[in-house]
Amino acid sequence: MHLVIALLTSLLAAERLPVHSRLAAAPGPSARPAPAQTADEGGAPAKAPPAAPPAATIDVARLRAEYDKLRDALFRARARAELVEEGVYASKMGARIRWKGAPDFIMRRAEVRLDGNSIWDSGEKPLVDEIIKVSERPIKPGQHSVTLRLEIRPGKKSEKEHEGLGYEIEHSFVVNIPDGKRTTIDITADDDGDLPEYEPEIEVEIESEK
Amino acid sequence: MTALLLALLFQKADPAAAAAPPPDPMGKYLADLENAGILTKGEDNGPASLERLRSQLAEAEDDLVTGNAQVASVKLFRLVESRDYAKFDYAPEYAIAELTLSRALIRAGGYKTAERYLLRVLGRGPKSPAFAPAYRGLVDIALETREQAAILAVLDHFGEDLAARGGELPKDAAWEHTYLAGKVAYEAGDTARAESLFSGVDRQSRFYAAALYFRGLIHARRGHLASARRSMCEIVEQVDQDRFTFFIDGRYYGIKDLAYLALGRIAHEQEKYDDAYYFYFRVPEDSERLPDALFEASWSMFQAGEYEAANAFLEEFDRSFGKTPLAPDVMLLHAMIDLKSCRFDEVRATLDKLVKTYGPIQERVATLLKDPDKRTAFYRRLLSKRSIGMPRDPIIELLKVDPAFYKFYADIVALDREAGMVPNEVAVWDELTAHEKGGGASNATEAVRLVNDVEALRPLAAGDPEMENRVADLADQARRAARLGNVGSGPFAKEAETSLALAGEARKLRVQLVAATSTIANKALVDLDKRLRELLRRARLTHIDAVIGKKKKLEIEIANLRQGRFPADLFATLQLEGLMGDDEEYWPFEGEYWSDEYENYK
Repeated sequence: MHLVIALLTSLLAAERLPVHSRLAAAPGPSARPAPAQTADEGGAPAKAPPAAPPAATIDVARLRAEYDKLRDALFRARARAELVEEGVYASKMGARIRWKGAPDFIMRRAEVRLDGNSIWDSGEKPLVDEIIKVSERPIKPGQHSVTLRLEIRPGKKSEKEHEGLGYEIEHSFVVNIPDGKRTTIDITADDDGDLPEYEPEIEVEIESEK
Repeated sequence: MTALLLALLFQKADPAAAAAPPPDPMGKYLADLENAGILTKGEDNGPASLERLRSQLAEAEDDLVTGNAQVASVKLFRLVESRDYAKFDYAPEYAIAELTLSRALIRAGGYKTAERYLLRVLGRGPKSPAFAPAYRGLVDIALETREQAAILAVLDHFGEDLAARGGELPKDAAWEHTYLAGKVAYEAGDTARAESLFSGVDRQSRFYAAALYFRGLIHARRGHLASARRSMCEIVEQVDQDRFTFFIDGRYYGIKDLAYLALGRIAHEQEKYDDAYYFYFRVPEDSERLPDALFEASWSMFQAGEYEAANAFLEEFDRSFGKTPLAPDVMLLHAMIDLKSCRFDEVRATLDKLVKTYGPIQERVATLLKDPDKRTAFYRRLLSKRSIGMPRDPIIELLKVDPAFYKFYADIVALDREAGMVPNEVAVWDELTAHEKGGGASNATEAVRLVNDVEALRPLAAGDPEMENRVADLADQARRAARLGNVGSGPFAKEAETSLALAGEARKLRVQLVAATSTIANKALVDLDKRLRELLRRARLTHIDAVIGKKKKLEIEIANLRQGRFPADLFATLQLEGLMGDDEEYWPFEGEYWSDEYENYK
């Protein structure tokens, strides 16, 4: 028995990588050099890897600089247009979104779009608030579509087996913005479902005042 | 870069020099709009006063913290670029408004414009309350945009200029500068200079922990493991038990996890497996590094011959991270632990499962590498990996994708969003032109909305040639309607043209970004192919070891039986069978005595 273990130990003994490469790249056991080929392996040789697609090089710094420059220019162009909107349109629109499904269900991500364009996005960072405030902005009076997109996941206290469950919902509402008034759209979303079942609910209230 | 330096030259703390900065394009633009009387038409536009400045600033701050960075920046532009508010330039609130504007711009992705306003704040001199946060803001932009060397040059120039006028950088700003200089030296490969600079970052700097980490890395690269360990330990342990040890910010916890992982790796390298166990164990449960820590801890315990402990780590890994890129490595390690424990049948079962699971995946990866069309479809799936609606793809779960991939992807999404708003911006100019001409209302906004609505029909029409043609015709008509009759001949034609040109540039850059993400994904696929081939090869070898091991075990048992030595499991059974009568039954010990079954219990 000891002989067998000694044999296996010698087979499994792994060479060590320099520590700095371990710190940098976190290689695990599979990253270590393989033991010498055995007779059996010669009988069933591994197929040669297929020709890899040609490796193009990316000038990350150049791309990043171009992107930053263009993004900045786009931003400024948009800011200029938004500056004049106030002079052109007398109506204003803001929104409040409230999630009432916590703690059983939590909002992972939220996005609000106005006429197809994103005006509020939580991005990659996890949402910590249950109330979203979309600031008031000038808007042309008339009909507009407001789209709400939510990604909902089970709360932290839910059972382990429910991990990975959840859903994405997207609702679009056409709203009427009266001329010269401030319109506030209150959206309340909730889920009274009992996992693994869902019961999403959306309520929209619109209030316009001088 | 030249523009930044020029801007800086005009931002001297000397008030006379500060009075003549080059006009900001946004400022000039705002002045034109004010001259045209466009910006005085809103009902909220009262006379400029310090009170009003404060209230607008408070509103903008509220917008910023609630995630409305664009709205906040427009409000702040109207404060800091307005002629009416320029008379409050002396007030601290004005400097705070400039600083808040730069923060809003950073949040909205307008880094270049943010730099300009941060330099304006720095130009007010170190005594301004906004100086230190502005300096930090510039360093943050440098680290975020990776334009570290360029921004360091600007800050160097600012420092020289300040020194020439007898001024001195405040301590916090000096440490920020030192850290940035160290980072630039480190990335340029000048580790000696980098180490010296990182050593100069004080405990009261928010970069102290990061500087320590880099010092640890430099020591490790040189093979000075004890020094590396000391640096890393200083990050994670506050030995002096002082209430104040060093400053931290949100980045600290990520660095702390990395430091524990690095300490585990150093201890493993030094064959101090118990220490490695301790350090890996300290990586918290909510850390992104936990899968690596569990796997490497198991590997350390395996090396130490502690197979039960090694197995415990792997079981924890399986429970939480069974669908991660390390999963096949973990399966192989399971088999190796069983092999060491002489559980040869389990080894073979595990390895059979490994080959059955990952063999077909490796074949699919090889097919993808050969077929560019399939690869393109695969990249699309990879980009929507984070969407809950996407079915799970085993290849995507195994890929170790460079974080740059997701960064570029986020850039593509942001560009799409910005470019998607260009038709609306042009529509605003069109509306404004119609408004100024005093004619009937423009229908530009409706036309843009119509274009969006028609575009949304395309996926629904896909697959039906007749419907596809009808949707295409409708989209053309909507675009023609949106081509804005008013703006072309009006005073805002240049604005509209600029916006449209930017949209064209965004489309071109998008193509380059998509190519960059594809290149990164290609590399990840090639790497996965190599990893899986190597794993399958090692699985075959371990399988052979298991067969040899089982044969050897049987040979030893047979030899022992020949010599009258029974194995432990067989010995007890035979002994009992010899003692029991036909009407008796044997209940084997199941690992626990119950008080009512054991008369001498307690």
